[in-house]
Amino acid sequence: MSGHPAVDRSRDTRIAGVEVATATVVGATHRHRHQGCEDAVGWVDVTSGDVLAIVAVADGHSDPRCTRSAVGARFVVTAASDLAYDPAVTGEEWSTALIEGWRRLVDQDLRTRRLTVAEYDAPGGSDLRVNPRLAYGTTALLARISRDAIALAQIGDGDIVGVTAEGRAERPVPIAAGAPDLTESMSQIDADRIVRRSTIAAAASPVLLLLATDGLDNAYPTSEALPAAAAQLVTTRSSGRFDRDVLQRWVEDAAEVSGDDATLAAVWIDLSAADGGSERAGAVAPDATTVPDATTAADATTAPAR
Amino acid sequence: MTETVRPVRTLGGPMARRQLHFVWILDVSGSMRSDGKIQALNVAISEALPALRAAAQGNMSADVMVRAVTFSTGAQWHVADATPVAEFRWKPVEAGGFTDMGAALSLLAEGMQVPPMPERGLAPVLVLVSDGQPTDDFDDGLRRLLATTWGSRAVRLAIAIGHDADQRVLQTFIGYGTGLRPVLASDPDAIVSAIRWASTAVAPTFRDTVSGVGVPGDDDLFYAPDDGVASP
Repeated sequence: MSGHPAVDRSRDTRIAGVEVATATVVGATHRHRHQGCEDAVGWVDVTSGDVLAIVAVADGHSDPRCTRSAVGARFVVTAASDLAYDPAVTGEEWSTALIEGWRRLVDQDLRTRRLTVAEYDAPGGSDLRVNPRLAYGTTALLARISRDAIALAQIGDGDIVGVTAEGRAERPVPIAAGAPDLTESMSQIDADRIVRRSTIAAAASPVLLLLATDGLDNAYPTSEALPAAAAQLVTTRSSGRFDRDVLQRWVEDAAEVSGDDATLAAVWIDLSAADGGSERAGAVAPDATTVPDATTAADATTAPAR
Repeated sequence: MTETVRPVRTLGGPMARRQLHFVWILDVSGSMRSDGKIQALNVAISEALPALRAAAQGNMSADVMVRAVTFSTGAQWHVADATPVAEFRWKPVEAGGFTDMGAALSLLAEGMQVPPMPERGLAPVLVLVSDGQPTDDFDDGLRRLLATTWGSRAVRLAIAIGHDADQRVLQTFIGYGTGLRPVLASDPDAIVSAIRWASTAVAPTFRDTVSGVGVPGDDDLFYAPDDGVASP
């Protein structure tokens, strides 16, 4: 974060109308290769203005040219956090501004830590001479939750799944059109063109939003399983809280089976609790009566990280 | 088809490692009887099985499944059921007949449909071994294979047994944009070596090397380089 209050990414958040729980586990293959986690997850809860929270999940590429992908993934979280404090950024400008912010962070890092001969000499490293940001290649899954809408943006693989109060789960962001084997990247020079967006009006807000790296989805034999899992996750909530043990075990299982780092942010949304009540129509959360209010939120934000 | 092992039941139903299908496509035409080539091929595949299993073990994100197609006068499945590599045993093949390579690729195209292929998985590895020239419509067979999603995404390798093998046809099977070339094996030792090399294609390291063909690794690749060249 630059010029803003530091974001504590080590805890879960719970503010009026929004609860965020995160989990991340290093993939079995990465452990075997003594490779660190290349995923990043973070959120920021905003206490002023219309924006309530911004949530970001990123998956640094394992491509040998992307030597700094873990840093690139963390920069996605930082750039997203910075935007929370920029009231001038609205609508679709939001995802464009995020890409610009990410590029600034990357370029700043490149000035202080120049690419090395070894990085250029790695397989395909000559591509870094054309596009040095490629070393920081990462995906990005982003959610910007405000009182009147939920804006989503995605570059690259991974999943954003929304579950309605009625239990219907779907992927609200359009599927990428490219080859299934290759992911799009924040590092592409045309990243602002390939970003996929979706905006959900408050009246149609899902109760659960799941942002997950492909380490989760790849653990399943079919593409329908992850939405089904998200729908089940709604039913595991009790006393108005996510069951952190369930989340953690789920992500651990996925990281073991898929071999890849697995990271998720589960976001519980009740915009009626955020604005006093009446905006969301035709959708009542199963446990809406237990959605926290501002009084209980203070306690929840000190919950230990898992 | 054999079911995936080690299912994990959790949210959303059972999880399962992705399958990686490895298929031998073997020329068992009459010319393979000469110079002990068919015997050498049988020995080579048997002896390469430990290498195949070891390579599969190194790929922690995949369950490697093996099948085999043979072609002579027509084509048939020699091992029709996708068999987990740990359970795979080689049953020797015999030679005799023409070289209907196109029929083999057409048969393989049927085997690349979903099912028997899984909806999701790692790119299959298809290894074509031949000592001669096709006696049927090779181009039509290849067209059918590449018309399938899995066939077009497969890592395709070729081994030329002896100098009479049609290198142009084998290169066409592999494709021209991958940097891969047919591997020439002119004697029994070279056949063993080539078969063992092809068996390592299920290992992540091999797949990283040939990533120019868009092979998914254990996790995502991004616009993979186009300069991978592999050799035994």
